[in-house]
Amino acid sequence: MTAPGQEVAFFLREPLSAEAPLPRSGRIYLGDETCERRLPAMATLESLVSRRNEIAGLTLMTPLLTDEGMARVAETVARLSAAFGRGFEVVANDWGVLELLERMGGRGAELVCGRLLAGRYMFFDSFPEEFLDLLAARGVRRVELNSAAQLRATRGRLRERGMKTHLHWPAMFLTATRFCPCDGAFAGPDREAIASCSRSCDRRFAVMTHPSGRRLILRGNAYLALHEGLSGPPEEADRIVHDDLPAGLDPSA
Amino acid sequence: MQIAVPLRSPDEVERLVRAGADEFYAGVMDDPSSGYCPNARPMPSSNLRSFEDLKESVARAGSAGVPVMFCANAPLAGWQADRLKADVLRACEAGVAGIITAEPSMLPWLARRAPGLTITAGTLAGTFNSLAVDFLAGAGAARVVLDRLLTLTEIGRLAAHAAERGVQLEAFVADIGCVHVNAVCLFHQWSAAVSEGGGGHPKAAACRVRMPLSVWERSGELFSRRVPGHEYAAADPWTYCATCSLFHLHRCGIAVAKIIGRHRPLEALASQVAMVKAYLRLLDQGELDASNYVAAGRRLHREHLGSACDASRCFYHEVRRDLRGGA
Repeated sequence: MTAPGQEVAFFLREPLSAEAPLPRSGRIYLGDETCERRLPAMATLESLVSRRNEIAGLTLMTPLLTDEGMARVAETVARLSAAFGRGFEVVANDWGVLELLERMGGRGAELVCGRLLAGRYMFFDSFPEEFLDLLAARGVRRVELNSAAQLRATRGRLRERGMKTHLHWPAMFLTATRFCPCDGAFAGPDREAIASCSRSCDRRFAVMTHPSGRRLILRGNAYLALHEGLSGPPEEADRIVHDDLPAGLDPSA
Repeated sequence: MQIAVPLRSPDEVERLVRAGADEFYAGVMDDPSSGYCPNARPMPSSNLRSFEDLKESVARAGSAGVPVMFCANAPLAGWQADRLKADVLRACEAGVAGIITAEPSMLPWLARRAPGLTITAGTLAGTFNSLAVDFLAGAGAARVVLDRLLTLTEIGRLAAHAAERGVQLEAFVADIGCVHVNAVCLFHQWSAAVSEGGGGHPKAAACRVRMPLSVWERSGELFSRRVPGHEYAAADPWTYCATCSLFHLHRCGIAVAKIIGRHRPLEALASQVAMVKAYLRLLDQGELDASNYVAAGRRLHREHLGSACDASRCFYHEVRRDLRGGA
């Protein structure tokens, strides 16, 4: 379900085998929005590089980062921008990534403002102009919004500023933690999780029902809320990013 | 190391200075019915009630040599930016020593219009790495509040970097509650918004309410519900102590120890401040080392808070490890 002229993108799930089918159309998103442990492995990068002729466009999603994670992002950006050139994108959800890309200047990555940065304004009808000025000064021309309401409220001004809008489907971002509850099968926040991880998020997620009846998705260290009351992805967005959630969770399915 | 303490009324100044406050931070909520409150605690009881109160607080604290920082530390709607700027100028007229903001995009304006004041990028700026420190410093921040979910090891590395850049760092040391990343968390706002649509869910501590949950496990390419449903709360209901972490934070050069508690009764807050002050005094006197820093924290916990230290409420895993090891 894509509106005419609307871009579409798909999150790619690791591990990626050399023979794994890639989307036949649309951009590929790689990486993670909330956990630096899920940044793509070097083997995945090399696999994608070797198949770059099959890929319509590549976007690296980056989360909030420690210095260790930032070093991996720098290495990943250098490798992918060299291989994919113009049209390779990096979604920044950490101010430090804006700084990194500026320092790497001229390496071919298009910078996108992630929804952890833009989503802070989700319950307002507008962005501060200073925020948009900052993005423009850093060369950002695309903004990932967090809800259909935020999209409708802000897209006019963003368009006036020459910025395109993205919306993730089927869920909005709610919160994240480093006390990841996933390894413990969601028995509660795990206060030792910063120091250890078995990457159980590759094989496990949870669904929680809010008293309002809305469904929350617990994916790794992130909490998402399904877009509800919509028959499908909003047509107003310039790009719909299909997250790697099981299809049965799609409220429009 | 300085202790930064919240302030909600000029009448609290004397008690908190006596307890050991080196610096205050305060917001102003002078028009509660409008819903406008550009700081991270948008409740009238957590803020000063007027800019006159702010001026009075600055005067009283100033007589004890204690500066007051003005909190403008929440994300803003576009229409709120001009009002926030007007508030900042009023705070400057009241004599504050600095401004705390959550808006990196406001830093250049603040640095221009509040010269000579300490401009701080607050915890809602979400700082986890050295490049973020550089980004914020480049925009005009003289001080950066670190996210609470960093480890002490990570804080140590950031402190070394910030020192090279001449940026002060601030870290939380007491009464740490939430397990989520403050800078990006929308849980409360979302919960309130959907509840207005008929959910009837209480706004306060929405993430601490237990909700039905089912776990799905992957089998091949498919997920199936494997674990029987249980109830789950996104956050736990307790707050955590980080007093002993002062030993590490002090050593790595953190400039400011932040105490939160704009919601707490005055005497409870003063007890926290006094405990932290007493610990810092021991550090300044060179009385603590790796063999006794936890024992000192445990003793002060009992003396000032009237209860035994609970290892399960120790915030940093590095300290918990030493606590279990009997340091």
